[in-house]
Amino acid sequence: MEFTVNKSDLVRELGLSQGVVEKKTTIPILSNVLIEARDGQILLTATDLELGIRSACPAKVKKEGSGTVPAKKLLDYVRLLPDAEITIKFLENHWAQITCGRSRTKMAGMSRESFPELPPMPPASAEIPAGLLSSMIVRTIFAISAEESRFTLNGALLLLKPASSIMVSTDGHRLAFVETMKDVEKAGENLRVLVPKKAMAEILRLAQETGDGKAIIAGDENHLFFEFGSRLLISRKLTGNFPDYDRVLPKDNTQTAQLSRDEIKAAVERVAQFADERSRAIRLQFTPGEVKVFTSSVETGESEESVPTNYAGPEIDIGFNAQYLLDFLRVVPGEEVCFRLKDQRSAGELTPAGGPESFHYRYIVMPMRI
Amino acid sequence: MTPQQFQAKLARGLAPAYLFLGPDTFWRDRCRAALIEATLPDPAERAEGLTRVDLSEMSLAEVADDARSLSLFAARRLIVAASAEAALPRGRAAAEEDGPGGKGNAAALEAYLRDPTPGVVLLLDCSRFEWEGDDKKKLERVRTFFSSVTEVVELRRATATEAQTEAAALARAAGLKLDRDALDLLVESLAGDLARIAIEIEKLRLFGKHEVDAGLVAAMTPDARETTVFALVNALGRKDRRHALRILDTLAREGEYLPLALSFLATQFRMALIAREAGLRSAGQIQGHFSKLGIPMWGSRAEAVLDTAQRFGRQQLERGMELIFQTDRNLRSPRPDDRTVMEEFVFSLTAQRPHG
Repeated sequence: MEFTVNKSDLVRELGLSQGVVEKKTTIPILSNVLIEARDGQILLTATDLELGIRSACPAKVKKEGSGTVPAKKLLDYVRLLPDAEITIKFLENHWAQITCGRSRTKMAGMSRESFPELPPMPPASAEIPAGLLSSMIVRTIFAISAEESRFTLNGALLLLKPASSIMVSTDGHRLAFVETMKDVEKAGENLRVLVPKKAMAEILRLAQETGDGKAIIAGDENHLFFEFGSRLLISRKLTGNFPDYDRVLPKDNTQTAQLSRDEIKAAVERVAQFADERSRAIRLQFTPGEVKVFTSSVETGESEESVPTNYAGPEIDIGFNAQYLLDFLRVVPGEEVCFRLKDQRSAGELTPAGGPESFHYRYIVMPMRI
Repeated sequence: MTPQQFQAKLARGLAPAYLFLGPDTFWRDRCRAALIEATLPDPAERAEGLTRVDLSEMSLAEVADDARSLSLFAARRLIVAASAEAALPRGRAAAEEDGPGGKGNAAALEAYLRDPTPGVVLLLDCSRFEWEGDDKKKLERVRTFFSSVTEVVELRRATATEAQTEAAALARAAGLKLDRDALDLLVESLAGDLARIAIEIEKLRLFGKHEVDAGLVAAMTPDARETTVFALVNALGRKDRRHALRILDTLAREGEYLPLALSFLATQFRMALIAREAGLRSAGQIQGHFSKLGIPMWGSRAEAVLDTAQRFGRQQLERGMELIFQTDRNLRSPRPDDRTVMEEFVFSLTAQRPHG
């Protein structure tokens, strides 16, 4: 196999594979990227057996074929080359000879035969704007559980219906729900899948690179496929029952307080500096016209801030994990946010407020007992 | 409290935290199942309400924080924290931090238990240490560390008598009629391990024969007989070289801890020496003699001691003790292979005239 490719094209596509290839693996081939040259382009494939990515870039193919080389080493080396055409030729012993200007390098590779075969993409189940998908991921990915034992919570629920798309994530103590009414072009029944967190992070990257393009979604028995133009992400499906999220969306949180997003975010960030490092517990005291944010710890000291609000209900003193609040406040769009509460023992709901939002975005947080 | 007392107490209400101490898996499983049933009676609640954590992977303070954080999906929660012993401080500095007024793990738990979350039950489970020997001090240290947990369940291995009684009860509950020999054999071959006894009784129940004799027990639990160190001890006690070598082969292949066999054999030889010196001539006499000394013994064990006392002369028993000591030392020193050392021991011990 021999081809010539533009350096910037190769760096861009190789960069996409870095989040997928295994860095510390007992299976050496999984550290490699598979390069296939044919039909005036090269296809780059990487996988860690849970996630796979395939992308393409134009190339002058002198001799068709395929081979594998360490993905990280190749990217690190190619980045250092001058901005010019790079010629890569695979030798008989699976090594790759890389030539660029006055640089000549031979990189140890491995046989293509030992690289795992990725499943073919089945017919599309749905098609949605890539920007919409990335917006939904940004609003939910932080609430995914990091506990490996709760594997059904290690991803987000994606529900695609004819007239709406829903994404929900939870770690058992908080829940992020986002729904958009924009049309989904569909090819079949409603799609309901659990998308693993690592796949979501890669989808986000691909969707942001794609810009205004479309994401084509498909699934087979064990895999999910997300296609963005010439790039394809394949993820193993998460199986299991996602909790009944509808049951925990508050229906009677009648005490509402509207606050400036930036003011409450800054207040929580400052006060949280003095919260217990492990629990990150802070207290919010809602009184008419004002929300007090405060914490005290025998080890670090105490801090208190006050933020003006239109709240007019009874006094509610409620504890929250500051990190949970900040995760939401850092991604919520608009200048105002709304806290909807019932009492100090019930879940609090945070939503964007004030401006027009194309998303129906709800964030539910259970209080902490302090 | 005993597992039985714990089960009775559960019916009267739940405490915010429990500590399970000891190695017995049979009672541990029963007590844990009873606690799950009491805390989360509806099985549908268990997917979200039951949390399992390991204190070798997360700190006790994090577990206390988890208990304090209310769950979205479960109104009632049971947090089962395994490897409770891993929460104990290591080193003097850590121990001081966990002392009175400290800010370590114990203090975090104590603070939580002063105002526990309603509906949340914490189970701290320490199964690593035995109630005998050097481990006893470690268990007491665990108990002291978790002194803020007032409900402590002691999970001790069953004594010979308890194992017999419980095995008989399990057999009855399974609708089986085991004769005395069958019961003795079952308990002996499984070293009085109630968890394994329960499994074997379930196997016998599924076999479908109501009346069970020793022959059926031997046929249905062959692995237990052939692969325990007790089987090796019994074969050596009978001077049965061929059988001993065969069992040794199985034990070595399964990675069994061979010094354990030496320890049990040393006990058997000492008992046989005592039996010879006391002029005991029947299993009944041996059983009675040792019971008076405060060492309860079931019939088949007494028969094994009698067998050893009859097959080995006094000098041979003493020589056997020396061989056990040498072999134990050889196993602990740099050597080519445990198996080779043990095979040499079997040959020396079962020789018609001791050599070496």
